[in-house]
Amino acid sequence: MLDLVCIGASQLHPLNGAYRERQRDGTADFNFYPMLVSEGLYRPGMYIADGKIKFNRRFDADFRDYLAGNDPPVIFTYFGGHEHVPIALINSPRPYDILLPDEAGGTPATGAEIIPYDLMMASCRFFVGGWLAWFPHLREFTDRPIYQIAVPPPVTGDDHIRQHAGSDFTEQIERYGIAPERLRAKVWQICVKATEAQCAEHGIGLVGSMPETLDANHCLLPQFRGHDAVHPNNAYGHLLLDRMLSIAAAHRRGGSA
Amino acid sequence: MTRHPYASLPDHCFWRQAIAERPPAEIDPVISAKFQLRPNDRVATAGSCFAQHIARYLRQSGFNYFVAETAHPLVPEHLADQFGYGVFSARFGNIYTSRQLLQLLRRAYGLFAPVEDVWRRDDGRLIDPYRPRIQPQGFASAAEYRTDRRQHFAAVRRMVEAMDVFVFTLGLTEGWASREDGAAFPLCPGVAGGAFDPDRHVFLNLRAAEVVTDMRQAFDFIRARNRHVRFIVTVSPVPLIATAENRSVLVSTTYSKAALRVACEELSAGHDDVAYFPSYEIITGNYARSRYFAGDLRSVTEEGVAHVMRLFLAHYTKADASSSDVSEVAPRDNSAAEAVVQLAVMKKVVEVICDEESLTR
Repeated sequence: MLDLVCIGASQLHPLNGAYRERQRDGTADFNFYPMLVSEGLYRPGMYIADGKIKFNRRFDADFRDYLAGNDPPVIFTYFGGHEHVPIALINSPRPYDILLPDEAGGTPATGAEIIPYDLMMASCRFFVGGWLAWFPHLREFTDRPIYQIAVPPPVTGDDHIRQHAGSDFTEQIERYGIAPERLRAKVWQICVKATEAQCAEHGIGLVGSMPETLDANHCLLPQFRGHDAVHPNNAYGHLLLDRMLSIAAAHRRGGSA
Repeated sequence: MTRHPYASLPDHCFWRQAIAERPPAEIDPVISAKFQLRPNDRVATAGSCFAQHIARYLRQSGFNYFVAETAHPLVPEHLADQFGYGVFSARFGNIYTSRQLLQLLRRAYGLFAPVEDVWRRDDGRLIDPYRPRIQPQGFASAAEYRTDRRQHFAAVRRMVEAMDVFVFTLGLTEGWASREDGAAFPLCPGVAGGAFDPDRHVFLNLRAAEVVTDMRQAFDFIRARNRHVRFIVTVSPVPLIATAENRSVLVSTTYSKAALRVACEELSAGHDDVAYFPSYEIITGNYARSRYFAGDLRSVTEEGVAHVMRLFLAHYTKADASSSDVSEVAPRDNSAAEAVVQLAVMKKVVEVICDEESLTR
């Protein structure tokens, strides 16, 4: 049986949910081992002490044990995963827009200042760069290929977002309103490109965005929404698992994905 | 004993007392300021690279350094700096010559539109000929370039109309211009974008009188839109990195700085609202024995900048940054402050959501 391991944060839940569903209906012909470094035993997965980046010792021990007893062809990571949310889900008190290089028309939203594309890209690279230190750390355990999974797209539907917002979130929504999907999608696209660039520089593969989950505005189709304003659901997790299985199988055959 | 005009002059008028017999760090050629900066005065800066030091110190000293074009609060500070935000009061990059300053003002108010409007790189990126280094890799599209320039000009207008004090550092007399319409470039075409074409581009080396004329027009332009503004002019002590005159760069540097220094005298003499601040003398004065220059004999050391700014703050401000009246200055851009708070709240909210996600499984 193929071994899949994925290290990451809350975005792992749709993957785990999908895996459990497959276990229940008997279609899970692989082993999936999620390692959440943002919750429970491994929290904080990474932290700074004495001016140095350090990693959770329990995680290290468990990861080492896992690799000793299993043979995943690749290591998947799902770090971050919502970098676009704090900066783009709610309207900014100082409205902004971005003009993508290939954007037709090229007119910013009324009343919004533009943030130059390169500057937004550099900012997103900075935001996603917070977890890059994981990669050299994981390399200490294995020389298997590593694949980072791209941040999921922004959730669609203002009503859904309002309905599933927590109290703090609701306050922000009432005060500023939900940002246009057009802007949220643009920021997400830049975050994906920033992740891709960062991963390439670190020799890390990318499990890119899945076009079949996107609507015309490059937002997440309603059938893939999760229980809140940030996460996708298990249906999204199933598609992602298939992608991961395909990549892992290709590596097990001795090729590359 | 014969009486003569020098007999009653103060010490600062005499080389021996003012310079030769004083420790270098205590040399103070400013003597007195023509006017004072009030703690809540909006102080704007522009000019050559040395002006960046002035801007940096004003910002660090807690004075009301006026930046009319700030990066959006979501942008990390170190990146904003790389993209030219906050380096000066607007995102205009270095303004080396008087011609450039005047041109910027006219362009910002729609009174001049250069024919040579944009430089396109081979990779499709666009360079602004009049601030060629403001975007490290140029603009991504024509729409972005046009929109950003429109924003920039709006910021320049805000600066012109709202500033209380304008500190301008003159850097060069040499420059390059379009033969077609006289548009002045900060850098020779071909250096940081574009392509040099002797049929289209011409070298200029401004005379002192031309600098005076440019600057008077620039100041009058600003006064017409802001009758309260006061000006402080300085000359950059940084030598020319290269000269386009067929002579020693040392000779060209001496000419350039001398012409600019003369121009400052012409601009400030007899004008209560224009003061000259001698940063040039503080750095280059022989009392310092070149100690304020780095190994390349061109870059100004931090020690030199500190000397300049210590005197600037001592003479032009009654209060330093630690005084209570300074700290009472409210941020002008409320939306920016609010956006910073919102960003922090949203990051926290997302963390909470992610925690809650684990509870729902």
